[in-house]
Amino acid sequence: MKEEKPHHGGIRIFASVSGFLSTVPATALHGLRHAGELRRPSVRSVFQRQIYFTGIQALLPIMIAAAAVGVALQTQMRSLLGAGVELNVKMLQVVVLREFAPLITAFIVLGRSGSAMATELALMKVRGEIRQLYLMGIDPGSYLIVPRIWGCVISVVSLTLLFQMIAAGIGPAVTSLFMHTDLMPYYQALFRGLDLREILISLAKTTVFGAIIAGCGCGSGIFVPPLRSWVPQAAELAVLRGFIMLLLADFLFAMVNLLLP
Amino acid sequence: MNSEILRTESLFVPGFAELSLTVESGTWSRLAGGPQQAARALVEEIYGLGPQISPAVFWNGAALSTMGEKERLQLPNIAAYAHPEGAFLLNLRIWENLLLPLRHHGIPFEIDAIESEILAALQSAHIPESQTARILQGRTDDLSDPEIAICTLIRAHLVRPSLIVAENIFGGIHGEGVEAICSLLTWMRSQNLALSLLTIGDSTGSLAHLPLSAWPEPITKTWKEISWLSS
Repeated sequence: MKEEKPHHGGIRIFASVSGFLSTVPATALHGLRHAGELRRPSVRSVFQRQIYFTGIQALLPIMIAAAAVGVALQTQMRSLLGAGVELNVKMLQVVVLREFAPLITAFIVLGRSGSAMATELALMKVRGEIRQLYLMGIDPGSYLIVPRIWGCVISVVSLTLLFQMIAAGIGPAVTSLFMHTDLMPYYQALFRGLDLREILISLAKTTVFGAIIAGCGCGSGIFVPPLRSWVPQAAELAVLRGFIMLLLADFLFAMVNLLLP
Repeated sequence: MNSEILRTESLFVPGFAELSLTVESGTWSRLAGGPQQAARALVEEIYGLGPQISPAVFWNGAALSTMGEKERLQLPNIAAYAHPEGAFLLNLRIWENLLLPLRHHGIPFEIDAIESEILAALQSAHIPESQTARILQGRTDDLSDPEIAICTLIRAHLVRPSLIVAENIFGGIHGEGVEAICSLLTWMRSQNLALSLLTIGDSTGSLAHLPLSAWPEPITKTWKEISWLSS
């Protein structure tokens, strides 16, 4: 197979930036818009596999990260803010539940699944499998992208919820154990502080994060040249684009949250 | 067809006039590379999806771009045989690969009947019963070149095509492998009398050591017999 010299310098940066503006949002939107394709048994089986690889297999790292973040932040907050329940809970809601849980979950999923998707699809392209799908009358967009986008969205939403529950549950419990304070007032204040607006924003945010991760993974894998030298670069592009886009999306959500009454 | 079409070209498979494909001049520029590109483009245009389809491609006078997927699937089925390297999805087992077109297009099938048919096809290709489980549960990397070629043809056969476009059918295969494929093709023909096979690449060289009587009937229709006509 003819090998092509990889792009360097300016061309590479241009390719990366143009990828932000064209392939990633287009791929994510294509996947979200064509949810009806999940009715096909073949697409549903790819979707189930994606849930397994992105969601189920990431349970352990997410649980460990959530427990560590919950305990570390609660300990720091208690030492900074004292044992005041209301202020601690407010900080927990803003810092851990609203910001850290979606972002850390998304970064973990991006590192595991975003790069894996990009590598898998780039390899499929090199091996001519995507062309073969066309020749069987199977639209690669519906067979490859739709189930990955939806599988990733559902996984990220669920994993973030799990992260929030563990971080909010274990953090105060461990610090109370060591500081010999009553735990129940924390949980009561935490439940009182929950409101529908926060839950909806969190859902929207994690949905967008999931779509960004899968969009970066699929877009970076499927739109690279069909050359072996591009396979590792596809993974690298997916992670780099995903990282920047997640931070941008988080910034936008923070702005929206600020502007909402 | 509208008045802007200056010239049309048709691809005829002799004896299968219903498979003529009319294409606006210029669209055929993709075919300039010769018969291999032509056959791939033919299959892509027929089975291509949505915006992939050129508005200038007509199937028996009907524009393919105006047809939905279901309508296109009502057309005589065409299955492609690409190069073995790109024939199967690596992350699926061979068994899942064989069923993929059926499952994706919602073509009804009974799992027991399909299983029996696949086993019969493998048997016709001289594959011993003890090897069938290894092949069906394996992945592309686990199979030899003749086994990949056999499985690719079986997958094409399962959608009951009128025409199989087979590219480089004996690529890297010699001796018993060629005989096994010929035997499978003969079996496929006996199961599907409407089947025609269009081979691309030099298949006659691989068949040279076999007596002519051992050549499967459809394989004698090679690219040399296909006419390009300009109207």
